[in-house]
Amino acid sequence: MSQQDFLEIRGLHKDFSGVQVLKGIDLAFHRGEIHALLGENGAGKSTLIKILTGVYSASSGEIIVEGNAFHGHSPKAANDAGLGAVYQDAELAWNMSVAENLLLGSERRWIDRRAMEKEAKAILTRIGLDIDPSARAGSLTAAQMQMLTLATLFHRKFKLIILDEPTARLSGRESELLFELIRRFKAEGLTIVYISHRLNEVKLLCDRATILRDGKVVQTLQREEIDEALVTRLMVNRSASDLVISNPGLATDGIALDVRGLTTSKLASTDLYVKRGEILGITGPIGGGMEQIEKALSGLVAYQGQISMDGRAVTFSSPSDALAAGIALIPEDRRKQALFPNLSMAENVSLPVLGRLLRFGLVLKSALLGHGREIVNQLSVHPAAPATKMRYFSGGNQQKAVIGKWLKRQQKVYIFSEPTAGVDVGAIRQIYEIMLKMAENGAAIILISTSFNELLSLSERIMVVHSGKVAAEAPRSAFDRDSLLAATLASGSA
Amino acid sequence: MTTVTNAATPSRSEAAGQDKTHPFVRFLRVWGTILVIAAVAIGFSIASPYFLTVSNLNNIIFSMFTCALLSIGLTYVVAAGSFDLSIGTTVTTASIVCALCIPVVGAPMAIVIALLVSMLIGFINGALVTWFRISGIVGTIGVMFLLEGVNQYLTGGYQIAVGYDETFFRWLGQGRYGMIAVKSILLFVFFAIAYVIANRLRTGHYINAVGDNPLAAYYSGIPVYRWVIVSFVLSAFFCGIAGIFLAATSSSAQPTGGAGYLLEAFAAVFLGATILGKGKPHVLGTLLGVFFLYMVSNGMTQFGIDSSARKLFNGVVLLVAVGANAFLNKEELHLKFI
Repeated sequence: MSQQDFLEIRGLHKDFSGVQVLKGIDLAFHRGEIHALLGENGAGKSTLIKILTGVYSASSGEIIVEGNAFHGHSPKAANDAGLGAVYQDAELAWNMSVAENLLLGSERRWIDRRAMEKEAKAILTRIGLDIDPSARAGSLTAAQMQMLTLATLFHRKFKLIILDEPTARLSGRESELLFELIRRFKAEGLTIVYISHRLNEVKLLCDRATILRDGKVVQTLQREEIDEALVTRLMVNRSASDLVISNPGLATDGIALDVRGLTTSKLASTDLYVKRGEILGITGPIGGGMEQIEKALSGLVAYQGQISMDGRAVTFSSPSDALAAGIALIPEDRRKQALFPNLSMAENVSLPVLGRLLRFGLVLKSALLGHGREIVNQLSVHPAAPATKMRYFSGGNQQKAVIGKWLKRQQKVYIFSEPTAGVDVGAIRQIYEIMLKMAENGAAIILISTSFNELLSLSERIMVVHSGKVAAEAPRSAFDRDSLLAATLASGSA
Repeated sequence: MTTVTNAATPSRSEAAGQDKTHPFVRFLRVWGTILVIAAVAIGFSIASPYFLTVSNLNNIIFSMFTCALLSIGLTYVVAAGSFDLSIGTTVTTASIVCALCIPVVGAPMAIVIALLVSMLIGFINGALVTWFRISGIVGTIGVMFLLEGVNQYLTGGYQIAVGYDETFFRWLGQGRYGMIAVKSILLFVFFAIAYVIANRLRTGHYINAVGDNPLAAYYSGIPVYRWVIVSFVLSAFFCGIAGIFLAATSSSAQPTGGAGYLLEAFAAVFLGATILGKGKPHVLGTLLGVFFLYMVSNGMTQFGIDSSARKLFNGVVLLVAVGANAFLNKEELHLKFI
């Protein structure tokens, strides 16, 4: 163990009832470094994190923290060793105040709300966060929640913080703020383990990057060695050029969805249309109004304005209305909003078309499985096991199931919200191809995303929404990465 | 549709996609509870020659009738993700309404009225936990107290007798074909109906989906409130049937006739959830759960074992079965204490 190492992992193995998930990990994290952990879903990242945070214990191998062996059998042991993690969904007590969350576990015997808020304010100021300590945690934005969670770990004197996809739900500007906070932590001597599918962030932020594949360390790269093509090749073991995809121009003349004067409490009057076969990309800062378009069009928020589909006026007051009119939403948070974890893959994809699978009014298992198998084959879901419970599938395959749910309903308009958030590189391309194929078959697609790569690859037309207004709208050819970033960031000064 | 061949190696993706447990643990998870039931049954059969006879089997099924219907109904509510604590008193109300109506409108019509009243109670329960945003536990406790008051008022605290000339009504509760009671046969008919609703009609599938992830169900365009309400109406409907047969069996309605069945029903539903390793309530499991509780009670009575020991045994079985199942499933972080 060298002097600069904070934590060293030696020959770490983990198996779940005989199935090896980690096959001998050797890895060291330095003090005061930001270290990226990259790998496809199933490569062993989450298992490794869970061992470091004491959720699982290792089958064999050792973990050495500051020269002492760490026997993590519980999250408490990990906390005591100074190891902590921030997961994708920031874990906060929503009904408690910012101060109460921040000081949770270190309250004095006599609870004095005002003193707590003062103490919290001091901590927040020290790390450069401007959050009202008396605010209810549930009222914060996604970005503030992430940062509050980080502040909590900082306050608890954690020495190694694992961040799991921290920017998955943040806009570009919010991510920048988060990065600043992370760099400040680094300067304080903390070790940050950074897990992300977004390679540009990794290049920007991290000192080193370790690539995991199939439960083993493939390679650890220095910052200057981090290169998209190389990393992708190491991760999926095939060439990155496979990932380049573009929309060949699939729009037809007919307008599938025409929206005029769409107004909600957070969106000023907006007009938009999508042609059959067209993919319309919508981007902007999170909370800037683009999610209002998605919610209004899928019947989730009250709105004013006219929506017509194929020239027929429609109104939505619930998701069922929108679905009946022909709009399906593939929501961002699929675990919470789209999937039934304890139902099988077949049952999940059958639910929207259950009426059509009936035989003499009865639901037959064979019909469900047949339908499930059809979807599984069509979307190359892996493993091709329609009877397996949904929660055993990886992120990318779960996303395919969500798409599969609506495929047979033959909706006219599909709204994809962050379709590849938390999806591994291998599956991203497959999902893109599925979307293009749907457009080719005449579906109108609205793609709401904060990934510029995704927007530029798939869209024929791009709209930028910020501060509750449409800030820019132009054909895809008018944008490149930089101009899109500029249009999105412009919101900050507005 | 064009697809890309998945570059993933088979070994890894199988690990990601499938149950990573030892075959023996998997076997126990599926068959454990049934093995215990079978072992106890075999033990009783060896110890007593009378235990495994048609007439004794009929006794067990006859005695478990009320509890079985309540539990089957409750299964829908628990599958939908809620609780129904009013089932015991709903049974009482149904039996009282039925007994009160028979002299006025005749038995067939009285049965219909009792079922309608029960379903109305179920609808109120469902409305409370959906539109009125009251938690299932609190809302149905409220209804439970309310019904206790109604039951007391309707009966004045005394039993209501049903005339001996009501032959059809008596046949329902007391009729026999040889050694088999009409009630025992009908229990299987009602179970078959419940099974079809739960597994072969859309109703059951939507109730399961709502219970598994209500938010996803809402986003998927499933009318979540409707199916929660339907689950409560189904629960109350089966309570109604139980109440009618309770009155038919004793030719009378008691002011507190069904109250004792509530906790047994909960025990049966959660015991049943462990059967076949489903990990969630299902009607077949519930039926077997009820059967187990009543079989043990029957067997122990034959050996003259005290009722305190029986209760003790029921408690131990429930804790061991549910506990063992949770233990065999303990891959996930457990943070739900309801």
